[in-house]
Amino acid sequence: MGVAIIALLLVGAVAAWACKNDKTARIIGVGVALVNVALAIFMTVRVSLEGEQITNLFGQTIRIGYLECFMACIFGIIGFLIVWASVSMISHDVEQKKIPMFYGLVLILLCTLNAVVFFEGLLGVFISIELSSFAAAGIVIVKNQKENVHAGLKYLSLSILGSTLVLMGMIILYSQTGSLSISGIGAVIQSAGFMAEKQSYVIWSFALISGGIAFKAALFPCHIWLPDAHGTAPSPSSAILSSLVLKAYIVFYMKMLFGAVGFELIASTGMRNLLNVIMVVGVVAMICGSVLAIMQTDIKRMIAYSSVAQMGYIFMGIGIGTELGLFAALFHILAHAVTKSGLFLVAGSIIEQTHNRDLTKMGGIGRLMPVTMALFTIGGLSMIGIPLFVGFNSKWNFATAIVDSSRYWLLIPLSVSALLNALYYLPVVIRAFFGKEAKEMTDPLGSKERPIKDLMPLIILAVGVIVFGVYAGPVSDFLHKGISFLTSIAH
Amino acid sequence: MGNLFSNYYELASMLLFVVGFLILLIQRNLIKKIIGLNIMDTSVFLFLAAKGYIAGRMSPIIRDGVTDASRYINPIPSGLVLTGIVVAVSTTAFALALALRWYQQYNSLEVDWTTLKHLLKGEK
Repeated sequence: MGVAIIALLLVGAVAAWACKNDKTARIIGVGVALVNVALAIFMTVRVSLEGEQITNLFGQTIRIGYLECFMACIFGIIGFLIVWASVSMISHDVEQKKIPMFYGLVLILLCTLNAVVFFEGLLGVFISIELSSFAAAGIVIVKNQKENVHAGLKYLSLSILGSTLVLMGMIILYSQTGSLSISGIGAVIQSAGFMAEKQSYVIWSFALISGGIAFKAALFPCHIWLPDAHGTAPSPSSAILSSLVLKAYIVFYMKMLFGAVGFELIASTGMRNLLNVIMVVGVVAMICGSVLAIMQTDIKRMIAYSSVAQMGYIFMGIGIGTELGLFAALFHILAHAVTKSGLFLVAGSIIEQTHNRDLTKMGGIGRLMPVTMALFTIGGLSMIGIPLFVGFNSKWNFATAIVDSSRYWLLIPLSVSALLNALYYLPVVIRAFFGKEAKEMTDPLGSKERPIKDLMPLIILAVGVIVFGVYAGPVSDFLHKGISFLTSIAH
Repeated sequence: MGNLFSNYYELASMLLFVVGFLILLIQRNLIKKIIGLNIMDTSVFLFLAAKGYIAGRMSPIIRDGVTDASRYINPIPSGLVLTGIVVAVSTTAFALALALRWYQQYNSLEVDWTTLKHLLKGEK
């Protein structure tokens, strides 16, 4: 099944790119993304009935377990909703003859992201990481403005630096364990006596991999490419970049850490120090990302800095290094993907309809676009962590993990960061609905609203935010199964 | 293990990595930055090749009909280097294409952040 998804997206990408006509390219893009959703759901059902599936592609093992299914569903469903939303939005940002190229790049990107998660051999993962950074830089540059070239070049060079560091870490692990697959490395590392003898090699190689992933996934001091790339890209690209692209690398990192090294070795050896560093950097990212977001006046840059803060949460969850911490981080991947893609698409709609990116001039926009701003409000409340929205469940999971690992001091940055989130999402909402411009405005209610059929994917994402906020039980069970499965792959 | 100088391959690759990284960070010319990127990649390939090398053995290409594995060095790192070279070539091509686009947009290959910010602000 994994091979089918990769092959489908690859063929779809070539077909979309080869189109002369932008309408056909849109149809191919949406169609392929829809079939991908069906395949991902079918794969999930099959894995939950029959257990893991192992296949081969290009001589590299593909192992589909619960986590891979979870990510494939996120890539599939959210990718489909973004592609659907892009049908009506993309012509605002991208010139008509480049639209087939845009859909080709998006499908290649989804294909390589799936490959990063599916491959078990490190060689396959490395190639997929490189290809995905090309495609990701591509969907930034496709807009073809001055600032896009600048952002794309910055993104490309920093992500190559990141993947070089990851490659170096992989080589050191290979030279010490003699294996190039996650389960093979895990079997050697978890064999008796290996960690005691070669601990420093393992720690240094994981330090290099962490450094590389920090660049790829925009952990705080290495985030400098993110606001430029996500802020200037066409809005559907921004949504894909922040909700899907960053997550694939993190899942690979989780598989390396918790699949190959395992919870017991992390808790009992020097790996704990490395994870402590990651946890503290994650906390710094939570606070600094939010503070930087408060200082922005451009709506898309504000949401981009908010992503930096949310990546901090995920890295903090990984850094806690317990099963509950990993669970909280994985759940936050879902929460952030659903919420942030919706927020970027809403921001794109606002920019498209009012030709204004400046937050200070957005007073009264709630009167012009009430439905769009209501969707923004749902996203913002979820990011802050108000109950009934998915962000609350996610914060609750983090708090449980923190209390469970008795690092009580982490509760302070967790709540401060929620407060900071409120400081930059709520003023936008309040000014839009209740600002004095809203009262003085004489335009009829909803005069700049986009047609409801174009808003459908955004509404579905907002419904998802609420559904996962109220009823997260099945997803949590699935993730818990995935975590216990992940710890057993090395044996 | 051993001291720093008996591991001179690793030492050289680390030095090359730092050189490439500094060029990438400090140089203002885009072409020089891309050269720095290539030096950085090459250092990793040297590191990889050194990891697969076993003193006194041949490169892993069957020669004179000898198929005994103990006569050849470890082929997997060499294979990785080949893959890495392909990736590095495509990266360079992409970066050079971007540099060309940059030149068309800004009429310069210099990345000067202060004037750049000015330019970007002037546009809006």
